[in-house]
Amino acid sequence: MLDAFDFETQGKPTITICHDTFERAARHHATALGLPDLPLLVEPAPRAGNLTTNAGELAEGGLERVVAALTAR
Amino acid sequence: MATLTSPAQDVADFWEWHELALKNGWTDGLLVAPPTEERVTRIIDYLGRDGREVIGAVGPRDGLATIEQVAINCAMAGCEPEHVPVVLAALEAMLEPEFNLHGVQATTNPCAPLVIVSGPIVAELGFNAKEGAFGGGSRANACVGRAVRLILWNIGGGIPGETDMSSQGQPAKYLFCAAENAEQSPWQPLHVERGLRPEQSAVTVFACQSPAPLFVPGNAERILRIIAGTLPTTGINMFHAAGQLLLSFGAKPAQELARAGYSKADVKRWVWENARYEVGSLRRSGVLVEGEAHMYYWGHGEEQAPDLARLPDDSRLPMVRGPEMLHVAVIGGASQWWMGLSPGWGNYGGYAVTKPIRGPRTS
Repeated sequence: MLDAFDFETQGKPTITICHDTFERAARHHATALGLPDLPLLVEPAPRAGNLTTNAGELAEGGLERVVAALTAR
Repeated sequence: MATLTSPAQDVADFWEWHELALKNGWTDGLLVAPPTEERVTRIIDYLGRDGREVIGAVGPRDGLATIEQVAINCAMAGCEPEHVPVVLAALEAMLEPEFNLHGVQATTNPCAPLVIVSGPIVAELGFNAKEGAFGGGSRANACVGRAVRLILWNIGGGIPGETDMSSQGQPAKYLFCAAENAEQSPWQPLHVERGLRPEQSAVTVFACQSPAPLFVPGNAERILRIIAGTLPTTGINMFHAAGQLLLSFGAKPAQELARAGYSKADVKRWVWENARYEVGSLRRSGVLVEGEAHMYYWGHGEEQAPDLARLPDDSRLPMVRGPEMLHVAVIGGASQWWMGLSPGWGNYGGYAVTKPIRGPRTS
């Protein structure tokens, strides 16, 4: 979050990846930093049994959204 | 005399203050004392420090902990000025990188920073290190523990459901401060073991769960075997995240272990070598599943975690990386064979940090 804050305040677009468990926490933190609209890429938190089977799929899907977020502005 | 920079508000009486504190989120629900100008100034003057001096940024909000802000929270916790250097040492410890305070505050784990006070200041300020050391009965334990919590709340912004995502929390999130019972301990004090001099006073901060009580009656061998039989359970945090673990001995079992020749280091080594998981048992019970083992045993990011797929059934897995990841302290009286087990947060942080308590500046 602090790295994203540093980049954003330098005018460089960011996207911060976080687990869904911590989405509210990330949004509160971003708001506290003065960037309530900081872009977040929210991924489901790994739960026992799903990490090894879904990790590649999650990463591929996430990559597209990361690129889109960084090139949209 | 210190000049305060924080805005002041007039209130008619204590209950108006209490409602104001609740409305503004200055308390987690418990009553707090009004931090009057007189009480806050008295603390800062005692410390002999500039109220604007910054101790550090407290996560997750990254609020700046100035001497004045710390003094305000200490006043709300009911501290006398003499208690505040203990709080400051605890804060300095929590701000060290290995403690990962942001993570400790935000994690889904119920851990809370435990402040263990050791050295001459325990007797000087009347910390309770004997019967009920983890509970009530001492202003020093109560106000130091409470001040640390209020700093984490008001400056750090560790608010449940907002930034603190602990699924259940724990009562120790209200306050968590105990002292080491050096008077009845047969062993080296915690702060000396961790590099300070015996005549120094210190705090050791460790993010952990409230002590789960273990009843360990008998001779040394029996005490150790009960510990070894109790610790390696699959629901304990160590199983999926390793990290560190605190064994807080009441004075009675500690004295019995020492009488049999066990030092603190001996106890740590024995527990590390004997409190282990059997791979075959874990496989047969369905707890450990090939391909998912990284999700269960020693968790994410632990590079030293063994490759479980290659281990035969008769392998015995340690709970933590090494004996040095076990902490031993004597906390509590000699009235019975009780001890406490406090798992830490795991290999994500919250590791024990020790800081000396510095007295007020006189120049």
